[in-house]
Amino acid sequence: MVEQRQRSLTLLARLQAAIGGLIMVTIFTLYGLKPSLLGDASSTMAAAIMGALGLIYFLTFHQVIGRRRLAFSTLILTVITALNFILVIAITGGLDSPYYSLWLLAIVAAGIFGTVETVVILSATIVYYAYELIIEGLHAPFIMDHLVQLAITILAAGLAEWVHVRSRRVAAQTNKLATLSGKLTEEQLKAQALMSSIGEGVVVVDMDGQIMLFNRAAQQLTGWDEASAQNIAYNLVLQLHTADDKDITADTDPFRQAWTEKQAVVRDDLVMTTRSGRKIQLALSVSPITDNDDTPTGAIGLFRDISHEKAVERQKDEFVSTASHEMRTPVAAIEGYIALAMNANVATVDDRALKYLEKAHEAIQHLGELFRDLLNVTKAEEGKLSAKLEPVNVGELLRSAVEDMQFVAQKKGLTLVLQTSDSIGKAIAPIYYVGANGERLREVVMNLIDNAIKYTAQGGIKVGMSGDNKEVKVSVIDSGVGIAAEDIPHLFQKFYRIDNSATRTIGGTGLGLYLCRQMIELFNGRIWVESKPNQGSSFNFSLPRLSEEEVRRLQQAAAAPAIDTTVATPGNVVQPTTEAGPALSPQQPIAMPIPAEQAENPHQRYRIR
Amino acid sequence: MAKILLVEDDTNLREIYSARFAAENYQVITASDGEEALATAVRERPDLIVLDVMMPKISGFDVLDILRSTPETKETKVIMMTALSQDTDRQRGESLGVNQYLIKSQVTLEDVVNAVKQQLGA
Repeated sequence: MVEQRQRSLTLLARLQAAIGGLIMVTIFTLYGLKPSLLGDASSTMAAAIMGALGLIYFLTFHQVIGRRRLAFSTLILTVITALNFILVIAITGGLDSPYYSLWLLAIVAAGIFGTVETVVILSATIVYYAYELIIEGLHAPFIMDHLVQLAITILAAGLAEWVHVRSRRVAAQTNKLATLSGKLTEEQLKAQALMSSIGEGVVVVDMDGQIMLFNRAAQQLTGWDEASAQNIAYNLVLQLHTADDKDITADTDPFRQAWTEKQAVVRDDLVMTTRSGRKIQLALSVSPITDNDDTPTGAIGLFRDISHEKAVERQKDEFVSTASHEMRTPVAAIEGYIALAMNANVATVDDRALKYLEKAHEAIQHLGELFRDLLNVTKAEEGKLSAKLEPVNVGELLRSAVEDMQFVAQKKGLTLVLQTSDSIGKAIAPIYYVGANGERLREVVMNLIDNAIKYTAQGGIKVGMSGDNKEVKVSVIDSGVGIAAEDIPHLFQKFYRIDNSATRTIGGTGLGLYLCRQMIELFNGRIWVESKPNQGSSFNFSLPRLSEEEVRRLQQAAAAPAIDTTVATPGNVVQPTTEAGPALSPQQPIAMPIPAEQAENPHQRYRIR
Repeated sequence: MAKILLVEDDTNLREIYSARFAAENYQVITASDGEEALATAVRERPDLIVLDVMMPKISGFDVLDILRSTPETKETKVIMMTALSQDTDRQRGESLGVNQYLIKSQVTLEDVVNAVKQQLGA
């Protein structure tokens, strides 16, 4: 469109130069043949000179200036031509001149430059009319004669302007479109480059489940090329199975889940069959694509092959599992022999030897705990452990746990009390049921109380329970050394142990609280800690409270075959066991009371299991 | 004096349990695998069998199965000791007619002694 304007400007300039030249030649020719034909000689000469000027301007300046500023140069030429026209018209009889039609041409041409130029030239024309009117005198015949002429002039100007404005608008729009489409192509290329350079498989599907986009990594992973995958249902291309080789159903389909839940679904437990029939382990995250109204319009899936990671993980887990298993046999033998040596019915040792044996016994028991925790963690992370969810009476569980730990607390001179209250704060014992594994939950409580006792030198431990219709909260509050703020975020992490003199002297696995968290989370609860150094800590967990109806349902279900809540996620803990107290409780039947110098040094007892 | 048959393939554990049971004044006889256990059980007619599950040749579950279908040992009390902590294993033991099922990692020597005392009604 820009070029078209350039072309019309060039054409206009040439036309004007030609007209100027023509006028000049005509005047000189007429002048040579019959000078009397021309009226006022000076005006005629001026017209001839203006014609020549136009031609000369075109041949010289216009060639130079016009190259850079064509419109400006053409405008100057047009002004010259317009003046020329005025002169010619004036010579040949003013408004009645036949050359007035030339003026109409100029008005039409002005439209090319713009509205301002049209208005200027039209105003000039009207002023000229007024001038003629005054010169001729205001009489009716003149007005009548020239009114039509003026009307045609204005109409021509208006028409020309309308045509030019329109063409300019079209030009501008076309221009904009061209720019946009250029940008679009550029963006498309960018997006394509981005998509193909992403190492993860990217698949975009519409609401019908048809594949809209399939990047290079996706093609490599699945074995499908883009052309074949395009417009095909995603579940034909991404043939997904669960880890135990079951087909994905409508309920477990991550794409559908993303749509119904309106949030991203992340899975790392899927197996995909490639086009060639090879099976690879897949990490897949699906996010819904929504429009402004939050209505899903499609989904984007990102996936990658995690077969290698899974294999390494499995090897690691197998190693830990085998190692702990194998090492447990000699540990059991050592523990057993030491127990025999300490048993007065079996062996005789002197008091000093007995003291050493007690220490050895304590250490070997701790080693046994370490192996057990390690195995549990490995199992938990393999998702092997399953939990039968059963209704657990939290108040009853706390009462028995507190009772069992009473001896250990008293031995250290600490008080251990159970405080239960409802939301109003009345000291009663309300009945709260939660869905959990009773033995596992007991283990969590015992672990928290055990830790509290170890961390507290004087004062006491309060075990509290409160709840409302939705959840039940359990707190274990001690008056111990407290925990530094920087340690709190890491407390429930695997193998995290607070690094200070206390924890260095007493061994801990760094797994106890990690396992507590795993278990509480398995029961759909959460666990957290509040603490101020030197003022004590409060370990809390909350679990969803079961309604009476749910309690009945779960009790019935428990009577029937077990509900397996195993979901293959790393969050799964819990093994179905009858965890007998002694293995967890520090209160060992055969162990003698802890020697006073140990019990009185709180730092030595300070550990996170 | 009650007679206990201890079936355990690990020499150390066999010695430890033998000594500890002996300290409680039980008469202890031992076997180190399933075959020996079956032969000894029929020959000696113990009051109680403490049976390890993971053993070479015949597993503890199979031993228990055979014991229960043999007239001489049908009524003999059996405590199983195992490293297997899966619930399905416990259920298997119980369906085969075990009197008590103990998981090694979760009990101490004293717990085993208590279990034995309990089973023998002492």
